[in-house]
Amino acid sequence: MIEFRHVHKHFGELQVLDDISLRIAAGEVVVVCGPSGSGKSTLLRCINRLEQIDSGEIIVDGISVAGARDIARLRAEIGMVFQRFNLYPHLSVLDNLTLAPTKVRGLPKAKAVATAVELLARVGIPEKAAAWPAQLSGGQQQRVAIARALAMQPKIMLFDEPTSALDPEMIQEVLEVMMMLAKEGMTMVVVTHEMGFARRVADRVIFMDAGRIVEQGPPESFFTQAQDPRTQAFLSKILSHV
Amino acid sequence: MTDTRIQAALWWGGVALVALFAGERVLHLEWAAVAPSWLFLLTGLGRSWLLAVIAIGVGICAAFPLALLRVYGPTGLRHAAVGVIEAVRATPELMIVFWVYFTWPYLVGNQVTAWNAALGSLSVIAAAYLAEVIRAGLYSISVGQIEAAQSSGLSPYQTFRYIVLPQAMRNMLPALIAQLVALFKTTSLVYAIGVMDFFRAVNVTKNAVFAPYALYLVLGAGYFFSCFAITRLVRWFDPQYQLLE
Amino acid sequence: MALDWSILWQFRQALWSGLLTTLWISAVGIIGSTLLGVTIGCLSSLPSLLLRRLTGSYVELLRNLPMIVKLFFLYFVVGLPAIPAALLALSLHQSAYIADVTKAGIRSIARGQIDAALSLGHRWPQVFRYILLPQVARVVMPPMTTQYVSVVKNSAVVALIAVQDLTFETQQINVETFRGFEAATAATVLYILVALTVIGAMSWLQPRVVVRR
Repeated sequence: MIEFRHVHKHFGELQVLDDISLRIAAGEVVVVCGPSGSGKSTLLRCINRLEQIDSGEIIVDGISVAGARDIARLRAEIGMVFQRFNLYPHLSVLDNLTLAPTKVRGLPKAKAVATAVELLARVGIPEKAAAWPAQLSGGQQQRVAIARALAMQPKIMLFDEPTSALDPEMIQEVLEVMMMLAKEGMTMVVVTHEMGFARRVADRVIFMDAGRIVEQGPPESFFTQAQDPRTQAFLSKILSHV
Repeated sequence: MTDTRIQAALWWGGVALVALFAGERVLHLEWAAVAPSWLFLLTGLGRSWLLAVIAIGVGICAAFPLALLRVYGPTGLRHAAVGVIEAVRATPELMIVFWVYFTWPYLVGNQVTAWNAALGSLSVIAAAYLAEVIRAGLYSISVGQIEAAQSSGLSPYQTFRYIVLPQAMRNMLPALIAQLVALFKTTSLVYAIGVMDFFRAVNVTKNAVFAPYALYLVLGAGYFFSCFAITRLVRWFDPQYQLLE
Repeated sequence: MALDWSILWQFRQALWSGLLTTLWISAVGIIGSTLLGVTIGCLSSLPSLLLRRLTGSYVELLRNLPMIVKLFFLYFVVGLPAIPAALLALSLHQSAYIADVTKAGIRSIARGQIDAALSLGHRWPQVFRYILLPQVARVVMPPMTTQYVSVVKNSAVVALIAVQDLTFETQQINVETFRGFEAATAATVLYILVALTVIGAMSWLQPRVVVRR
């Protein structure tokens, strides 16, 4: 579904992606972790070309991302959820969910609204359709953001630290929605430090440092038998206070 | 990244092409006809600069009392200051030039020369706009600064003189210079009352010799590079400054 | 010399038609400079070096030339008729400032809004139309008001190419009657009233474009 072939990217002198090669199968749930500045967010943002790569190739669903003539059409197939929610503050929750389906896909308004209402029920906040983003808690905003991405019926979902900006008591409600998605067979790439989520849901965990994939594997072995000292150091830091 | 490099190449290629093409055209303009007037034109440009610089000087002197009245003045005077400043700022600059030129005789009783009317009107315009710049500068000082000064025993006058004013001056400097750009462009309006500024000098020459393109190129370049130079001066003082005129 | 305000009543027709000309020329100038300026401002916000350079040159060139230079160039050198030259000069002149206002407004909106819109498959025109401009509208109302008052004020310059606006009629009264003081006073009051109308209209509009946060 997603394939990286020797991808390089740098910001000025800084090498943020250093020869990344990676294959993610359809239906796979991949968790990416690593210290800040390790390139994990950039990796995610390259998949839908919010960042350009310098060399190498990324292929999504059989299409080369860098060479894609119509990047908007490709992006429509890839949902993305951000750390800071990024809901449109000038639109109601319902309008946040129906804007892209009507304007990008050309869906009739009534159909888009029906889908939106259904999605809001699935993420557990059916009563908030008429609310404004500013009236919602962080957890609710993030669930709306997930619903907004799902409204485009994407084949892939990208999560960029979806719980990092949330108060602790709201993290669980967002993770539950993500688990539900994973169970339904969605292809997901999740940048997160929620190792509990990784352990329970991920098919594979990837550890990145300094722009490279240091180590990867299924969660059982990743958490117990990490080989690289950098992975061990990172895990000991992050797991000690869980 | 590569995309940026291609665009940079495109840009510079375009610039080179335009320079080549336009440069060739420019060389073949009616320069022989214009050449004898160079001193006349340069004097005009000098006169425009002189107008702008004197008016800014007079303007600052008038703007300080206006701004202080607007910020610290007793109610009646404060309203008067607001009225004067806002009325001038809402009136077309050209109207103000006419105003001073045509109404001076009524108020004073004798005629006014066009040059003095030009200086007077530009100074009035400068004073009103600069008063707002100064007011913004005074307001840019936080209440905390004033409280700190007064709690250390400084009198209100000392607070103003040693704490507020020096900081405000520093904050308003770029905006003061920016007003010079605006005023320099405004000097072109005194053409209307017959002052031989740069704009009139070019147009007078244009009526004498047939060289419209060459002369308007000189005209544009004169204003562009004058304003550009002042703008660079602002950037030199404050690289982040957003020019607002 | 005693003042004679009756002169204004005598020339009420001229003043009225001058005012109407000023009003419609300003209105067209406001619409034209907004369309041009907002477009240039949007283009300058796209992630393209070429567009940034091009729009930057446009703004720099137009900002550093006085309005009257543009007006005379279009009228005397290019040879446009007076009214089109006036409208074009007004629109071009203010569009440079409005482009800068728009650009600053767009920059004030969180980058994440653009990321979110792009990731959902919106193309740039839609990103501006549905996501950025509605949010920008709220922040740029006050600076736009200043720009629109400037258009009204700059419109006075068109009198110099004999467009019969308020300033032109004032000059006519002065020429015919030497009552420059009364005429200038009347015109100034009218200009201030127009400026106040613009300010009033914009503050009426402000809460209607307000964005919830």
